[in-house]
Amino acid sequence: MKLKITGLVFSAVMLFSSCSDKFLDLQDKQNLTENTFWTTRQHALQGITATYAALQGHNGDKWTFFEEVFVTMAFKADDIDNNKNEPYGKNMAAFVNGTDESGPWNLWATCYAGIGRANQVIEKVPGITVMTDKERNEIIAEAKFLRAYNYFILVNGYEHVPLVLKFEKDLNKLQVPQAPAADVWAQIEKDLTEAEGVLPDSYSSEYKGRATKGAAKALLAKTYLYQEKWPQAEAKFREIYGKYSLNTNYVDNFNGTRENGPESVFEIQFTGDRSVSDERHPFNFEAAPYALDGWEIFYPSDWVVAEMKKDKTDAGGYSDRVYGNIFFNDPNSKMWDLGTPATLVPYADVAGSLSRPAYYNKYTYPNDRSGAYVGYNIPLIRYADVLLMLAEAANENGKTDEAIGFINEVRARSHAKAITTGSLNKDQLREQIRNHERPVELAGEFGIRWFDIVRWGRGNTAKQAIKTLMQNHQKPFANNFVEDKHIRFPIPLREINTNPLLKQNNLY
Amino acid sequence: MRMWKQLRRNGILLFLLFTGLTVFAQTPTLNLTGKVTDAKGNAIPGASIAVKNTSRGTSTDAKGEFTLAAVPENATLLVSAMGFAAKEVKPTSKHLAISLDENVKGLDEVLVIGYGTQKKGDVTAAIASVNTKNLSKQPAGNIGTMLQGQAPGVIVSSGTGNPSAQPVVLVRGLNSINNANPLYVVDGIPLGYAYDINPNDVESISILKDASAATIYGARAAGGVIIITTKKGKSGEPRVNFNSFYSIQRLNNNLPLLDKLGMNKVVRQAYANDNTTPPIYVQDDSKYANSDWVGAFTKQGIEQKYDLDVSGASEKLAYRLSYGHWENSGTIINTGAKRDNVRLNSEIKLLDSRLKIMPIVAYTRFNNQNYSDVDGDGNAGFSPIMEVYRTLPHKRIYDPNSINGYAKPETELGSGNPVGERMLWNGRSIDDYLQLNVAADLKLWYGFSYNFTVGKNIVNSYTYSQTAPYDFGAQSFVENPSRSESRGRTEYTLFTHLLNYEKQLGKHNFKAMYGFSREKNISQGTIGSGNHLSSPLIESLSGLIVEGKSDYIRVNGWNYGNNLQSYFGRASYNYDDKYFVQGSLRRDGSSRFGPLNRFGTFYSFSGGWNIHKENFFNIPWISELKPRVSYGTVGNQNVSNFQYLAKIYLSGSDPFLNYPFGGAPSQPVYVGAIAATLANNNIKWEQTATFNAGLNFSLLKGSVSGSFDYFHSKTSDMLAETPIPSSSGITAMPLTNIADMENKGWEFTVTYRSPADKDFRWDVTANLSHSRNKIIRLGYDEGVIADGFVDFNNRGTTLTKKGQPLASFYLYKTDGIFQSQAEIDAYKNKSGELIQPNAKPGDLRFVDTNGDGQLDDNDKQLMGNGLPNLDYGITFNASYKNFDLMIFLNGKQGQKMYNGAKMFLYRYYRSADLLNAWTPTNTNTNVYRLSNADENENMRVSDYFLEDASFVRLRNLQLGYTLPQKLATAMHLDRLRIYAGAYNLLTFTKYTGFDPDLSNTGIFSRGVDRGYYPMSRSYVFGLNVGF
Repeated sequence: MKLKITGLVFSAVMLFSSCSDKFLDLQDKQNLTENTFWTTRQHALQGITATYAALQGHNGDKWTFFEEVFVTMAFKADDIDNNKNEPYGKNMAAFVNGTDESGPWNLWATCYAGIGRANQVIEKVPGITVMTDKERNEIIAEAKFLRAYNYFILVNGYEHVPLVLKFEKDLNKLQVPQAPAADVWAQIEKDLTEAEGVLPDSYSSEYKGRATKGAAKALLAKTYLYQEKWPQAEAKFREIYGKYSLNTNYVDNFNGTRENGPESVFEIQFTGDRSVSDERHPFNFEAAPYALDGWEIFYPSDWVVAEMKKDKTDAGGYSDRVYGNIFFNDPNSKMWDLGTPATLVPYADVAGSLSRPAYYNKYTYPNDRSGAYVGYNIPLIRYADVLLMLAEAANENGKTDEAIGFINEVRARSHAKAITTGSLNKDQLREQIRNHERPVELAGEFGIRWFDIVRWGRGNTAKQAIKTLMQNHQKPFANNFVEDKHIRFPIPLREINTNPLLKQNNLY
Repeated sequence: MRMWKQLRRNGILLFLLFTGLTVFAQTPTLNLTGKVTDAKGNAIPGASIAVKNTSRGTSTDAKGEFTLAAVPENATLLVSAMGFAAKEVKPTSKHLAISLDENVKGLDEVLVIGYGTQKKGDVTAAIASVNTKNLSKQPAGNIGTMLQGQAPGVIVSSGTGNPSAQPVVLVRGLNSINNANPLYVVDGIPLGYAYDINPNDVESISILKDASAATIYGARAAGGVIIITTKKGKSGEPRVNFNSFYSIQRLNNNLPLLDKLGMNKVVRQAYANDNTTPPIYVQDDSKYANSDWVGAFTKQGIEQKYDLDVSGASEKLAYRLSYGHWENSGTIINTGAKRDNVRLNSEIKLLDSRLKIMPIVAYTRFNNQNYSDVDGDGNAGFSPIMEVYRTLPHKRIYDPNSINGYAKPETELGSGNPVGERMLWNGRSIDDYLQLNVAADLKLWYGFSYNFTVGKNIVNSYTYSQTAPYDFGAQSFVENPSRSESRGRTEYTLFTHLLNYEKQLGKHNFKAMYGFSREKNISQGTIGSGNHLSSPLIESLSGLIVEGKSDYIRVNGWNYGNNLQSYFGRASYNYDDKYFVQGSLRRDGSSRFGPLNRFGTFYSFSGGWNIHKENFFNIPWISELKPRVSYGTVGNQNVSNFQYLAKIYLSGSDPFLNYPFGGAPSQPVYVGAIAATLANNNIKWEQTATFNAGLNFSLLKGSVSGSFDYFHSKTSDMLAETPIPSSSGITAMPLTNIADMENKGWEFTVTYRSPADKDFRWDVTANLSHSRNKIIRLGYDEGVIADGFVDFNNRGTTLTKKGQPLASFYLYKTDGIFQSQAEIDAYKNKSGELIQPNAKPGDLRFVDTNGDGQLDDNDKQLMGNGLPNLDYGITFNASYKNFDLMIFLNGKQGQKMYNGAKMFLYRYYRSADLLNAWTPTNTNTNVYRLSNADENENMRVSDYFLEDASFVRLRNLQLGYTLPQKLATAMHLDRLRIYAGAYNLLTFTKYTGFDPDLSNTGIFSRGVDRGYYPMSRSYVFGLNVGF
């Protein structure tokens, strides 16, 4: 009896006595946390690497980068005609997209991913004590450069955007209203001014591709240019005038041989080396015709092809940049077939099986080894662009003849006939820059033409109505263009769903 | 020392101690033999004879006979058998003749509830027990599919027709935006899945639906609990059973596609309407092949199942050993699944039956030929089968001259050969499930008993894929043979201690239970892959080489775990079997939550009243009338680990955060790391409080019986990934306690059984249920969640917002087709602007629902959702002499589906509907005009693609014949039954997609049809033999 009761009491004690809660304290074996990260030089480098990585898209995916980000930036412009048989950006290119179009959301998310990461670097790196001041400050300056670059795209693409300068960790404070565009412009100038003072002139070969002092100056000058601050723009461009040089061959900007080379001011880095992860892009076969194993998602517009054909050498032939841009009916026009092994194919060989008269061969190079995708960098700012922007600013500042000189530097590289000094007045040169030099030199390049059209369409200097321009350049569906609507991307519906403080852009 | 700690920590010591203590108990005894028969004198095999108030007992053999040694002199025997009323017998002689009456009420039937059992008549909670007799007639490979329509309030949708896919089981609809899957408890072991169990091993299934029943599983019970008990040995002599079925499956393909000529015509028309040039390949009808890709991608499937088991029991030992083999060759080429199960369940009685030890060893092997479907929320992928449906008929499938026999498409047709890609890719998974489970039940004194369970579930998974090189164009090019392998191991350990108490004092009956348990989960794994095997003949990672910049060999892995520690108890009391009350409490601590919110406490109360037992109750045709009511809470901890920590994402081989730097092409890639989501320190338990009121009834001496339940639940602080503004810079959505939701509904089940003493016997059971949910709080600042994307990560079709059901369709409203320019011109706003300026005759008219004169997002409207209003199942069983018939109908009423598959086939000009598109001469049609540019955005998300997906399906039809007993005996068999039937024979629905019952499993995307692996119709032949 006693034994039984003792047994019961004992068992009750055993069962009811609380076992230790230590059983529930587990360690995360897979991740560092904010408390353990941001303590070494390696961490700072990993952080800034991640910030650069956002240039390739918010999720690092090559399809997001091309089909969403590039398509959104490029397909509305008059130098591109999209393949109407493919869904990518189709509605945007026809100016009939709604607010739930995928491209504008992905571009938005890409820019803000870069901004959020930059904000983390700017906040956290100062606390890493094991680095030298110089190392710390340079990394922070890189983050400011990248933050400015992302805001530049946002303010030009959407105009009315939230200005987020802090990595907010409180879930209840994530909804931020739109800032006045002027505040965003001011912040871009501030970040770039701070960055240009600290960034190094160049990097050792293992770190080439990171933002330099010259890149910050170029982007700052471009920022002035976009705001029509002509004197400041000209002055800032002049600070890097002569610090870079044009590649001898136009095509070396795109075929990988001169990556981060003398003409490169800033590029999005890609690589064919897949030993860590896949960092390639699919531009090559997105642009190539079916006949050359491509996917032909987009083409040069008829207008830009016609404009190219006006770009002649002294001898009356086409300039190098014409051949470097387009694949067209000409005995000297060639393009890479992307099959294995890759071969350079003359136009005449495939003319019969092409669905369009011309294709962009600009980004269409076989990979550094083989396979469909390619690891060559995509230039964001190259020195030729800097010279043309310098020319534009100088022209607006009344230095038309000097401006012609800058343009001729660019033309000379492609063996295009020089423009005679004094042959064009200010207005004529402006027209030449807007609708010949820039589209011919920079055709189809990332972030160039559509934003040019936007700034000339909204500016005060020789305002150029976009719809009229599009109609003149035979942009398909130009009649659908509504001036104060399609000049901006819609604020993505997905974003408004999560942030009711946002106001939709006009007429969407 | 360490071992001592181990023993103490997990309570094994306690168990050893008890075992030692009980050896001291002894009493005088009697040896008994006997026979149990029914009223007509037929032997009842498998009847159980238990010595009351002890854990001792035995069961009858095939002749209905039993022996029971050393029965205490003054003992009472409790004799029971399935289908018969239990009886108490005092042993008056050494040989007993016991006759049992057929049970008409079923109230003494024992139900398995959480951590124990209860007489059906004592139950005060909403618990459904599934009629396993009906289940055994379902020719299905897994338990989920078998449950379809078998219990009220349990809604099962076939995930996809993929043989290795898991069906979606919902108990009482969606009651959380988090994972609302039920918890499965298999022989006392709580699991997240039960698809490795062989249905043939299942003895009983109980479904705990309300909080009163489920609270005892606290933290994981929010989605309901499905308790599965596996079969144990019963009668004396060893019995052998063999069951088998063989079925032939054909794809239910009901989406007519255009052939080449039809497609050429349609595409030419679409471009002509835009004044643009159509693609080159549609211009000449005489060129190119005219292939049937769907035909080449699919095949006839064979499903077969073989089960063999042997079982028996002696006084000290009961056992059942079973083996099962199931395989389904799949209806798509290079798919299929196989499963082998071995299970040994035994029960050892020691110490004069005071101690029962029940070891279970079960092993399952799954072999899958992988087929991945695109399911869930977020980005809109379409399934591989849709890629096949869109493939141009112009492409050739086979090419005898190519190295692998499959054709490379002409360049202008684009890359890809889905048949070749599927056949040249070999992906398999081989998973081993091992369940080791020992439960021990020890009878103590003064009504106390102690139960100890130790369980281990080990899952070893191995998957590999190898791709042969092929070249089907630039985008479908594999240069070298490549291979990846992944090995994972999950180990789950459980210790449970239960102390039970049971006491009867006159008319007062008490029962109480207290328990403590610890569960530990560890998952670890390794992944290796490379893109260049030195030879396609090598099938091992050792053959990987790196020859250049394009080749890679990568490794990856994972290592995480979580623990759960719980205290729980239950007490019930009834007075004179008339008035019942019960209360339960559970406190769970989970490592998934931060130290601040680690513990959650859940409770419930319930009560019932057996009105029919009252003296004043005098209605002869009502044999049972029992109202009952309950209220309680359950929780949901279904979140991933360490969400409370501010994690830094380190992406490894994921391109997400990595970036190259360097001077030359083929730069090295640097690994990036940064915070990609936000920590949530305050993350806490999700909790569901449920009120349930029910009524059990039984009429006309039990020939009609059933129950009705009404429930109303409120789920608070639901855990879900919260869409946050991307302006935050966050790319992975953080987990928060985002929302509150309520769910209301009712369930009704009724069974009629004809009298059992006729040659023609029949019964029919109908289950009906209804539930409706509503969001009552969502996120911070009244946000909304848009999902159900049908175009990459945009074009959401569903919206979840406050005051509305979860994932309601949110779409533009159409109002027919513009028949003329005059109609378009007349459709304008007050200031005279056209509302659809880009429309042309033949385009859809979209309604400016808010009347602001503009067509924009504000004109979208909520239009129902993908959950049915009414889910029902009707099972009809009949037998005449040796023939038996089963008809099982199952249906859903009032569910809607967004026919994304149709939208997809319209977009790619593959749907045969397009031949009937609007033209100026074909105006009497509902198919809008063809236009490739689609300037009117006819393809925007609208009710044009929203369809009523109600259906009734003849799910099972089966006719069986049992050999007469004499004949069977002559063949040395106990029993032989053969049957034939059809599964999914007929479906009545207005839905025009593949299948109205194929459901997207995403909670925010439910009802969005992205074209899944379709269901099959099968013809089944089967056999049951007993030796």
